[in-house]
Amino acid sequence: MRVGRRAPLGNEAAVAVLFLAPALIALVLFRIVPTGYAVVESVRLKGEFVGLDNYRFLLDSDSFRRSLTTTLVFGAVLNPAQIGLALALAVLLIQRLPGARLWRTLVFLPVAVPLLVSALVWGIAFRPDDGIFNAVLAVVGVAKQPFLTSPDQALPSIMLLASWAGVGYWMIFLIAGLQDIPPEYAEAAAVDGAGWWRTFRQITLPLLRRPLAFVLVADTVANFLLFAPVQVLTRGGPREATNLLMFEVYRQAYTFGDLALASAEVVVVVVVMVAVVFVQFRLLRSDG
Amino acid sequence: MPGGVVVLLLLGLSAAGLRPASAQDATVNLSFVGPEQPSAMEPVIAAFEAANPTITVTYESVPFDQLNDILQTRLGSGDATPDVYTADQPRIPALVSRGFLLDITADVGDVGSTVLPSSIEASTVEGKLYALPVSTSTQLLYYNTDLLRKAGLTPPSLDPEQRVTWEQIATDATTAQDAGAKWGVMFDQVSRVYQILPLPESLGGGNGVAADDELTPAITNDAWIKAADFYGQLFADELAPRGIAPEQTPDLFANGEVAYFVGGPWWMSKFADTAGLAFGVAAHPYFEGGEPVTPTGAWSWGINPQTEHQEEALKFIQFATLDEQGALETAKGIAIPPANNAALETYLAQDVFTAENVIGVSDLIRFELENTAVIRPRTVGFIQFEDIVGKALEDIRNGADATTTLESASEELEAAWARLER
Repeated sequence: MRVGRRAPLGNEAAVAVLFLAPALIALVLFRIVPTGYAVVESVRLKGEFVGLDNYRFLLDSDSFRRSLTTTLVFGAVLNPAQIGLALALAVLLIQRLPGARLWRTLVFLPVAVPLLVSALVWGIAFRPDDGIFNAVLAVVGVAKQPFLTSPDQALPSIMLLASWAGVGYWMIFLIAGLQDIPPEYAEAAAVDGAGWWRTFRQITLPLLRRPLAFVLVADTVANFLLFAPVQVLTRGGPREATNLLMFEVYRQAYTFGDLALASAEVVVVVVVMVAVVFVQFRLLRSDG
Repeated sequence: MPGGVVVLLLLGLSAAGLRPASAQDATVNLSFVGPEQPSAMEPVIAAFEAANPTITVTYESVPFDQLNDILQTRLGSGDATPDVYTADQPRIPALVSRGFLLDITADVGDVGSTVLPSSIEASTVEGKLYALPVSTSTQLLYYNTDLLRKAGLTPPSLDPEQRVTWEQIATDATTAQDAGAKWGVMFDQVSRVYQILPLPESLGGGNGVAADDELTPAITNDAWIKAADFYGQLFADELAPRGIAPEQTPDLFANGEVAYFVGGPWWMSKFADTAGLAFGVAAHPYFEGGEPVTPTGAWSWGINPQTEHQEEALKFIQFATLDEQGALETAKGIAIPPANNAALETYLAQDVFTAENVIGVSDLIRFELENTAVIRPRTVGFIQFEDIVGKALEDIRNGADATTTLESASEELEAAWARLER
């Protein structure tokens, strides 16, 4: 019996490794190795070891510091907003309302559009003189807005676009999480006289912690690495207002061909991102 | 947890390269990358393949704004393809310094009488030829005849000796707008260095790079600031629209929304084919008291030093540029004037250049190419220059102060160029 039990266990482990292997190999090949490569490149210049020179150059660069700040502000505003909106939509669209399925599909639909295409379409909609947004604003009597051509409105405009494209995606995970919560809890709470808000805060939210943690971390990373709309619509401008880090990295690497500096920037991006995500994980864990 | 986090963290940090399989059969397949539509390259490729049955050419079109980045990615990783690619002439020194272009001096020999000498110069670095010029360029002032008539304006002159001033254009654009034109004036390649450089140049501000050092910017002198102010003011006064990308500007003119449009001769066919559009052509404007200056420079085709088909690649670019018929087939597709002397004559004799509304434009184009054309700065730092100055111009277009914007662009340029000197 004992031998009989051990054998399948060993088999199970082997099978598990086999199933995981493609993902693990891809992980090492496409994620770990390039990151290691970036670290190595970041301490070299034109084939020679230069220590932390590239990092020193970055620290001295106003443009890079501004890009870092812009990216952090972008994330700090956008992540809570997107998750709050995704959660609100999930809670709303899980109700047995007429047409709920249709609404869910409509909210999810932008996810199916490649971000590049969305960016092009939004770019036309944002055009100050003949874009649809200003046409709609004119109908309700609001003056013409500059949108992407203004350093004050360009970043919020990109946020709007990114949310349109992303909220439906995060909503789906939260809907799945909400549906996993057994209805008995809410029923029991109702019997005890708890109102909707109290049930939501004390039962739904705690039980939704795992999918919320995933969405928070994944959304943070996705927004950190947002690139396509910036490249297509603003190329970092106006006045560097939308110069997010991933675009800055791209610009150094592929426009200027400065792979050493771009690698140093990538390393900084990874370090900052790890720090942010680490804090998020700690916060969500101590909660429970 | 850590494994999962790492997956998420590194999401999207790697770039996967696409590597087309090389042909195994007897025919050689050349890979060719450029910014033109695939249909534009069909004539020259078909003619070349007909003349060389053992060689096929596969053309890959990439957007103009991404061409440089894509080439950097592929050539920088040592890829053997593309075998042939289009090199923007002012970028050639930078491409050469990165080892991205094959020295073809010995293979080509003296071609100074076959193609325009200025375009050979633009493809040469330190006495060595690295690419063959396919095209040349100039800019014209198009005007909408109906909009001008409505405003009671006399069309500007096609005679280069009588060319209109920028000051006059700004005044007349206002008049045209008051009489119903949606926009007074617009630039084809709005906010791009190519298009805007003639403004400071006309005021004697130079090409943006110090005369004695190719890695020192010179974009903060009075002429540059005055030119940039003028440029920004056209948009601040709403004579010209903000938020429209260069790809979309010719359509504004074609739609009859713009009174004056500064654009290349390659739009002639498009405008001539647009029903309901009555237009004429005049000489490129200059600043009062300044020099008449027009932009020039265009495409050369070069060879990837890592190519496995050097001989065939050479044959292809020679056919497209040095062979009159080949050069004509190329020009047929891309509509940009060919750099090949004989083909240029045939190009300028086309119906669109001899139509009643543009009589004399062929002579004007020849005059500008010979007398007023000024190439963009020849510096290994041109890519940084084009990116940073282009962004500054776009910021000025969107309302940023010309002086401070040019000053900070100059600082950014110095920092970027300092990287090249290390």
